[in-house]
Amino acid sequence: MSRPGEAKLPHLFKPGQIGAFKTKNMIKYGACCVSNYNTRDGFITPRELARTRVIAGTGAGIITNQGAYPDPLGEGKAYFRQVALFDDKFLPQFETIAQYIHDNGAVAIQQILHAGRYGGIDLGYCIQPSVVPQTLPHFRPPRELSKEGIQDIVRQHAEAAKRSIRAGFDGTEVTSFMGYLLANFNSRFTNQRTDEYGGSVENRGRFMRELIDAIKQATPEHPLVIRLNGAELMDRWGGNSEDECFELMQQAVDCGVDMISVTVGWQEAPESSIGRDIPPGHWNYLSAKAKKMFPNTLITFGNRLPDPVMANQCIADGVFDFWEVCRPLLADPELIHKAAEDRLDEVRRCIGSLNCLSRLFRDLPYTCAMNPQLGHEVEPEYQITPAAVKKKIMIIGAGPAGLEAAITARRRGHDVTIFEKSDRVGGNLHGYSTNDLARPDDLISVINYYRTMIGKLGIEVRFNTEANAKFMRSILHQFDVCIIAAGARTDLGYYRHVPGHERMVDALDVARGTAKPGKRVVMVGAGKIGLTLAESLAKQGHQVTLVEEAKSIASDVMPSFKWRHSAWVEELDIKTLTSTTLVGMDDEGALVRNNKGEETRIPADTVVVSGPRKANHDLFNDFLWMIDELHGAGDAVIPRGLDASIHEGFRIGVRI
Amino acid sequence: MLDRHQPMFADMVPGASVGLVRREGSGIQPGKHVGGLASAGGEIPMMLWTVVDGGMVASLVQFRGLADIKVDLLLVVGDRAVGNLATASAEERMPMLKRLIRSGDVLFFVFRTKFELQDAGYEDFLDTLGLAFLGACR
Repeated sequence: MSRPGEAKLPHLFKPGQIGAFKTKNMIKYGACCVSNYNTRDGFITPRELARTRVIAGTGAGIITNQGAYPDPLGEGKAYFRQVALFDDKFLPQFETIAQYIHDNGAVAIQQILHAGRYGGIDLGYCIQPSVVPQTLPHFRPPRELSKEGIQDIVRQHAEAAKRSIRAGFDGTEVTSFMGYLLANFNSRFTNQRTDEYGGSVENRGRFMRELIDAIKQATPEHPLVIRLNGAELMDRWGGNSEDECFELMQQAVDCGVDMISVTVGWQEAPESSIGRDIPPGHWNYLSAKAKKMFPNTLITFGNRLPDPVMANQCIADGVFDFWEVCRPLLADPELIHKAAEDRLDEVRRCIGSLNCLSRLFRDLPYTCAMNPQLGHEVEPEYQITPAAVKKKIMIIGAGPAGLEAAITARRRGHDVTIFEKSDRVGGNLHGYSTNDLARPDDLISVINYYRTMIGKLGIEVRFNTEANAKFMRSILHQFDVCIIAAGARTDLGYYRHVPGHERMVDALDVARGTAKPGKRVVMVGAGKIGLTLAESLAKQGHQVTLVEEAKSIASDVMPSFKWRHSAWVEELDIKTLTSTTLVGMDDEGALVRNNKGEETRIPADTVVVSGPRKANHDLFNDFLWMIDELHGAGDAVIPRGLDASIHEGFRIGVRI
Repeated sequence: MLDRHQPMFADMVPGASVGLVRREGSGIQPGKHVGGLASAGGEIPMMLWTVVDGGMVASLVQFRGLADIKVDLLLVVGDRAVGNLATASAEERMPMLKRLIRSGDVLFFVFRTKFELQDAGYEDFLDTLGLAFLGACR
């Protein structure tokens, strides 16, 4: 423990052991989901290798490589570009990955992922213990596995495990997370069999026991990790109770698994498990229970536990042995090193936006809102390299796009100055984050990160400075490059024709706290800004009615978070009128008209308008003939949101 | 209820259909095991919503188990949920159905793929009911 942060987090950074393999610390990189970076027929690509090289260098003591499907038909294949391990032809790239991991002094574990109910992505069906129809349209119609089929799958897992070891991995992992084949056998929801594989917990666990036995026999000298639900969150569907989940863990322990990774939830569970609305540490009790019940088996855990300080305390308290971490390392692959070097204030936190998963379920490669380089590690254009020509860069706007552009350009050696019209950094994210019901701290952490980095990188920010043509003339020829990252505003002009429009209040002013709405509020626009603000106001005791021109609300919300807004709107009793337009305002409230032409008067003290949004384009014309290079980034180009702003800011910063 | 919420079905193609069966008392639900649907025998009544030109119509047909099912989506409604829906006002019924789905009192199954459902115009319908159209891992 030579680095200053290691002494502060001694439990996390102490050496450990799994099977015969020593680990440099108590951190396990979890296999996360899959990246969808690979070929359609299961071969690992250079893109994947480049990403994995970064993962191998995260500093975790154990690195789990993403799940490979073990069967040639692809019944176990869950994702469009998932890697395969059913044949030796796939081995060369696995050998490279194992080498990357060993080069970084970590223990290499290969996950084997048969998706069962969520598999057969290229087929017209999936296989399950019993025919239980799908609850999510993304997945395939079910077929029941025969006993011969079960034995084939057990054999395929053992062969995939042997192949992993031959590729140089130190051990293997089998996963039931989050509702894959192993979970399908274990759960009452999907296992309705009447033979020896169904019925009692003992029988439902038979497949798991056979799987463990087969892998242990095939690779006796190598550790086996099993990922099992501590809670399925499927009780309402007839899934396992927590007690049953722990009975199944007991079976795995009795079979001699080396480590249990405790997980939470199924894909189709009606509740969140890892989203931003779940507070960090919420599920720790499951891990603590597992550690208490199975003191002689290694327990690893990390669901919604993104903070190394919390993880260190959990290990000290006996909640788990290894911190299993994945998404926080996608957001910031340097997280562990920053913790070890006592630089936690520089960490780019995972904010639980679930951009990664939203894309996977649209059959796209995963990306990260916070880390624009994720998935582009193989591309030189995404690497921060010294600029060939050092330039003086001015950035208009200290929102996420401008800040990301600033720190990226500064890292390349450019001289950067930010001009911000308000007195603080963060732009509209500031108002948005303070009204976010899910977890304001996550979004505020984005602002804090940028504030820290501009300080550490010595970037000058001139606050209370509005950039306009006159200002530009006053600094003419002082800068080589201008990046306009001035964000977007509410397009109040859109309502110019509406009688009483002068009474409208801008949602951004309410979000910033510069306008105070009355008790009864009509919120016009039910996109993410309108929704977030409406929810926040309703929670503060305002009576809120949402009016949306489109057929449904939340059209610009991340798919994995849409349902949450929908639920909040109901919980907070926010009345919602869709396919409805604002046609007038007066002392009494708002007059709206639906798509059938029916008009309704909504009593209100304040009419707040949150959309449409308009990019702050004006400066492009004003500055066009005043500076050598002129670029735009983020919502100033097209109003979108945080991830587009960060990514675009980075892309500009890395290329200038 | 169907008339009141006609916009939900506006994009759905003629022939698109949703079935509703009662959960209890039908013999198809052994305990909490919803998978029991798969082995349901005999015939029980099923409410069938079918899209026709100009809207959605309701009819009563026989449910003979999953092997024979001809609907795109199936809602399995518990007795308590049936009672709640029956006594709710027309305006309250759809929000209530959403809540009952989320609470697990109404179970929901799909028999078509994502693309088939998209092609058949189901996105608004599923959205309105608060159902995740894709995977959720949330």
